[in-house]
Amino acid sequence: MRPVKLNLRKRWRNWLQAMLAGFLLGYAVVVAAELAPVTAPEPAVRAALLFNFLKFTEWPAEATDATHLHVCIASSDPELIVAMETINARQVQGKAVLTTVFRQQADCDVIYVDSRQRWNSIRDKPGQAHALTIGGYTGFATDGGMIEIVLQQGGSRFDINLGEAKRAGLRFYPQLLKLARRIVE
Amino acid sequence: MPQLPGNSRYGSIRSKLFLLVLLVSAIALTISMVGGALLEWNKQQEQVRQSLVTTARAAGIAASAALAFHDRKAAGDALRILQAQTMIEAAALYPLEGYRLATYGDSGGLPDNVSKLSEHLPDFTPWSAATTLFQPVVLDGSAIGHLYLRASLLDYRRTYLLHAALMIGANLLGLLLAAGLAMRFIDRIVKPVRELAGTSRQVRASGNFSLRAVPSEANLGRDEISELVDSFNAMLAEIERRERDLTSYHKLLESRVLERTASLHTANRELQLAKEAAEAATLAKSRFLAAASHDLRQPIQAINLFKEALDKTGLNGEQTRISHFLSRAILNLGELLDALLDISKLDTGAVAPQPGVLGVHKLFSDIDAEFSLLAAAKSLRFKFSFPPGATALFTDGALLQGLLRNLIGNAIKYTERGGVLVALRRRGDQALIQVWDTGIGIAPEHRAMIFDEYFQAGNPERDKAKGLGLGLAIARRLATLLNTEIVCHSRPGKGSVFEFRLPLAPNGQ
Repeated sequence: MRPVKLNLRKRWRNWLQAMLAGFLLGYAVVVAAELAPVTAPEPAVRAALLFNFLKFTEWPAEATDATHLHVCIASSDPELIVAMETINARQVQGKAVLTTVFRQQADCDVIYVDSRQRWNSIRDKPGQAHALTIGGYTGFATDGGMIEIVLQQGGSRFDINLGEAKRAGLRFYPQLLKLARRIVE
Repeated sequence: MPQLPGNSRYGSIRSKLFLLVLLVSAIALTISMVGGALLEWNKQQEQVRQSLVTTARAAGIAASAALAFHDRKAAGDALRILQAQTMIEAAALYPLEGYRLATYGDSGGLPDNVSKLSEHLPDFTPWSAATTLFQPVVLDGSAIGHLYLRASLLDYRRTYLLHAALMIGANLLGLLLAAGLAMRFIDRIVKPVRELAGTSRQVRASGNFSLRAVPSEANLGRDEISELVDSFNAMLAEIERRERDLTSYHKLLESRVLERTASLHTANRELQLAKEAAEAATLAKSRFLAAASHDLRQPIQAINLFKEALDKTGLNGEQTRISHFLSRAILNLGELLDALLDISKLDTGAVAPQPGVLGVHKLFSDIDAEFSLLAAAKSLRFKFSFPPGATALFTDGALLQGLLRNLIGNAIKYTERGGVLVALRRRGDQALIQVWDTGIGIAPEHRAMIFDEYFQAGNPERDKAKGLGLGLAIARRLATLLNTEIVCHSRPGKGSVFEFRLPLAPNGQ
């Protein structure tokens, strides 16, 4: 009966191999998925970063409202706007954060810009003399923005345009400067 | 300063004071040392704690951005400021999520996750080798993470022990200094006291109260010790004064005593002379009496002879009666002369007693023979009483017989009814001889005088039949010669007893 057993075993082996391969692949996927860092959704990250930046920034005394820190969001991304609203009413240096959508003529302490076009449309407008400008697109710092958020695979980084900040009368805490990827004067 | 004589019986107050000072200083310094050590420890602990907390806070501020942005590298860099604090061995930063973001130093022993760890400040004992701190990193009023650090206490402990050793050393030095100063100043106090003790010792030993305690120049001013010295001197002065007074009074007494003694001597001598004179006079009187009565015998003999001659001449009734009275008178005269002769013989000491053994039985039978008829004539009983068996006396038999004759004669004379009893009783080694009678008795006021010459208590009519009153006077003299004394007991109307004691002859005789 030798030829019959041989045939049977070969078929068994093939099927087993396929099963094994399938399991391994599935396992790899699961492991890969577990090992991959849990990343928060991007808008939430940006909101958290923005809030942290506020903690390390110093506005000139006469510039801001005594009770509120006005954060203006120059973006039409609804997810971003919703994410930014999470920092509303939180305390920074004794003032409550007030997030609004950017409007011309508005008095802003902080402006978040999500694109170059948007930046070009709102920059150097009156009412922004002492506003901290934070941007989410590449090249914002060279464009004249003060903090450029750079989201990377390993985490988030940022570039700081110190010259622009100084011109606006703003001051960053040294701890923040230490963390910057790049400082532009 | 000459060394005062030492004394082993009394302790030294110097060493007592010194020990006291030493003890008190040691206690004080020990308390201060212990208190100081504890305070020092507290202070050091607080210092370490403060230093670590401050350092941690600084590190936290430096790492605040790194924590906020979860920047591992920046956090590690920030922790490097802890290098300034050499005692910190290791540290770690933990964001709010609780995982370890960055470490500093020897990370072995640092917790991986602090979500279950509670905040604490450094708390350690003198024996701890290391201590830990876990506190929040605060940014703008809210915590953004935690800092954990571990610090080594070995250096700090070494420093503390060094300080403690220095403190102990300083305290011991202080103690030595105190001891040294104490010795010096104790001497200043003790010296005057010792000098005073020395002086008092000298006074006691020599009995010389003219010594004085000298106030010591070491004495620190006017205090109790100088008061003691003054009092001591005052007392010595007082004693000296009293001694002097005593001596002078003593002398005065002595002179007085001598005076009195002298006067006594003089008086004595005068008395002696008087006595001798009196004795000589008595002797002379007795001799005269003896001579006179002796001389008077002859005339009495003569009268007797003449009376007898007269009787022979044939007398009538009346003449015979007168002759009878004459006889009686001559007889009385003779009796008187005999009695006077007896007395004088006894007084001049012409009679010397010659003691010998005398049988009582024989003595009493002789007396019985002599007086029984006389008693019978007056219808009086005459009895003897003596112990059974042979009794013997050791005395002069003749004189005793004379004495008994006297007493018994007297008893019979003064008894009208009843009787006379002569009794002999043993009293130890003596015999008590008694002559009892039931006569007229003798009144108490006369009892002393009955032994006097010529005194008759019961013969107011001077009845010559009752004798001349010399009987008891003779009896007293006889008793004296026999070395005994007659004692009289009597009750008027009831009777009398005259008794005396004589020695019994020793056994076997």
